[in-house]
Amino acid sequence: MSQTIPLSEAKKGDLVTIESIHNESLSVQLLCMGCMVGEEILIEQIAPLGDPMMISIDGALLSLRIDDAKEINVLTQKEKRG
Amino acid sequence: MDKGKQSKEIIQLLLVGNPNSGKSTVFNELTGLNQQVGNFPGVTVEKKTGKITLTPTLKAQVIDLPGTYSLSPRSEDERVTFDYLSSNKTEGKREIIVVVADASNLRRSLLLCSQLMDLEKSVILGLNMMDVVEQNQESINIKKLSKALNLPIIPMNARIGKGIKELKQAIIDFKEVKREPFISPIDGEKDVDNALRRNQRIKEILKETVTTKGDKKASKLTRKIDQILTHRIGGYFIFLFILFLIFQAVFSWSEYPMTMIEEGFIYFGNLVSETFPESVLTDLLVDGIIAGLGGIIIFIPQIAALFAFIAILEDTGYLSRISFMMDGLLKKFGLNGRSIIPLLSGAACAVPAIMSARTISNKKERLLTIFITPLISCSARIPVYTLLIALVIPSEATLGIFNLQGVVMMALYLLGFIAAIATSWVMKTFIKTNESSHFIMEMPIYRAPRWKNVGYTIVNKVKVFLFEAGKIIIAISIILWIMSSYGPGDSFEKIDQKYEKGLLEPNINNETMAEQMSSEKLQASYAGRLGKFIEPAIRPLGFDWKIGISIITSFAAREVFVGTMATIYSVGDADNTTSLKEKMQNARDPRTGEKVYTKATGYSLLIFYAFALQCMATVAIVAKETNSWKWAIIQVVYMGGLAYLASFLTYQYFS
Repeated sequence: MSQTIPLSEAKKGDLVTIESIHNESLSVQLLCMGCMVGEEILIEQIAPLGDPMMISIDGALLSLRIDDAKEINVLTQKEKRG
Repeated sequence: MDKGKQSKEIIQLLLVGNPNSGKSTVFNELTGLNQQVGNFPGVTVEKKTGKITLTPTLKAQVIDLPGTYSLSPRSEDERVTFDYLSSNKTEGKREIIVVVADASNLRRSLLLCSQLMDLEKSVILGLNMMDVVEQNQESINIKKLSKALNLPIIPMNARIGKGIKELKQAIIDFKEVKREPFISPIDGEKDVDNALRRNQRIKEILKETVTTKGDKKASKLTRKIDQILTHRIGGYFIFLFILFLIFQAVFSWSEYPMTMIEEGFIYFGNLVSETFPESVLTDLLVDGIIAGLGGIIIFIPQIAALFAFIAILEDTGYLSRISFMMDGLLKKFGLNGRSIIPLLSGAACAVPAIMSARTISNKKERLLTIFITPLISCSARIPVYTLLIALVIPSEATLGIFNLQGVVMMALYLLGFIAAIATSWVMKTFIKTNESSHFIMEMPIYRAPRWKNVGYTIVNKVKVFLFEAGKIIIAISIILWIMSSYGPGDSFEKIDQKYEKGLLEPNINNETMAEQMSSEKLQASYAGRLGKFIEPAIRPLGFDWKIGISIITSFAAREVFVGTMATIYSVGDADNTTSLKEKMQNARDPRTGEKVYTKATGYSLLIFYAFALQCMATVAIVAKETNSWKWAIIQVVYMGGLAYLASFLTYQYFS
């Protein structure tokens, strides 16, 4: 069952879909880097101290601080891959 | 524009693109060694320009603008590009913009490109990294894309110089076209909505022009490498090993060329003083200018070594991973994952370390990194530490099972490190910034380093240091020379007269005599008088006026402390630390008759040198890298204050 969570709570290997971004300036920045609502994100890695997280979107890898990830709501799709 | 074929035209060519799109490689391929590096006015963002000749009648002034994702700037770098593109700085020249795009990540690159198109700029799109597109088994219909965007498009692989010739030809053939707006303008539209509409339009276009056959192979390989290099445990071991290599390079491999430079300058100085007649001018030339020049050039090996590594790390994509791995920890102190490189290199020398803070794009995090780096104990402190530790701690003293001398040495390094991060932690609340606090960083795919780029980076960094910081260092070194070579009134002549007789008599040891004379002269100089003048202020730290003089002269560089002490205590050979140590050990306070170098004074002085910013090269490079004297002065005052307070407490505690 899919549910909405902040991106910061997603686990390594999760495949999620961006549902909404609360912060407007963050939203512009993400758009400029090719991230928009409705896009699929794969959580590639989470740094050992739990911050930042590495995500991939449309083949590109991005590193995102947890503080920013909290502002992004995502829809979980599948459980852990592999 | 057409004024006949004989007229010569210079156009302005702007290179614009996302970070990691290979823009710098395109720039290097276009301009070759014909490039200059400076700063954009008013900011500390590197500006690279170069001139190229396209045809006998057409030249271009190429400007490499900082990488950006869009025209809504979020960092200082991006603001420079934004300002450059939104105000017309063409000086009457025709302007052509080359957008360098990572073809394997077209969606992102096209957003910026579309914004430029809507500013009615003359745009050529260079699709770089076509080799990655091939590896990923994608194909781009260039013709169709060119038609859809109504732009000339040049497929490129700049790493091997592919597409450069075609790009030049496209610039020569460029013709203005009337273009429909990429997206219809809406008055008062929010940035978010505007970017969203652009993204949607781009997506539609790409659906028609890009076909993907299989998995993205290049990014797959990157993921595999990331499994190893950013592994929770293994990743740190690899990182530690690389840090160790960098440290070795800056700390010990650079030592050989540095010794050669040092000896070369001493030889050259001696040669000059022997060749030219004894005069003030010769003195200025030898002790002021040649010594000052030597003090600048000595930094080149360390700068070259550090930037060779940084260029490789950046070029391969590993630097972003370092940032990723260290960011969680360093963020807490207001720093950036990339701060680890300046902080560690600071243990060798603060000057290249501070220059390397440029890789941090957030202004506040970069400033904090620059501010705290000189607190890390650098290699110039070692001679001071060694002399003082040997002076006050017997070599057989132990703390538990450890040799006390070693423990103190380590404690000093630790102290510097703790002071650095504590300072940053406190300061992060005071520094305000208008920059976005979001930190989203692209992790480029792993690639082999381009040695040409590494070479250009080294050459550019060395040039910037020599010509920008060098000026300041020479000026300070001349001032210090005047201060220690001249005294008020006829005090120097009196000393000359006093020794003249003695020096001429053959039976008296001339060398000792000469040493005593230079000691007396130093004491009579402005620096000497200043040292005596500040004695009441440094008494509470346990320092006498002799230490005062050394503190003043060693503002040039910390290791000068040892040389000045040797002069004051009339030890001819400054390298002969054993005899200097003996003389210092026997030194007694003329007022109390007690030993000057007690444990309390020694510890206090050690702490002073751990904290005080006694290095003019650092001051010069900070002024340059922060683009203001403000931070350089705040740093000198802060570190000086910290040193004073800490030394005071140390002295009071131990005495």
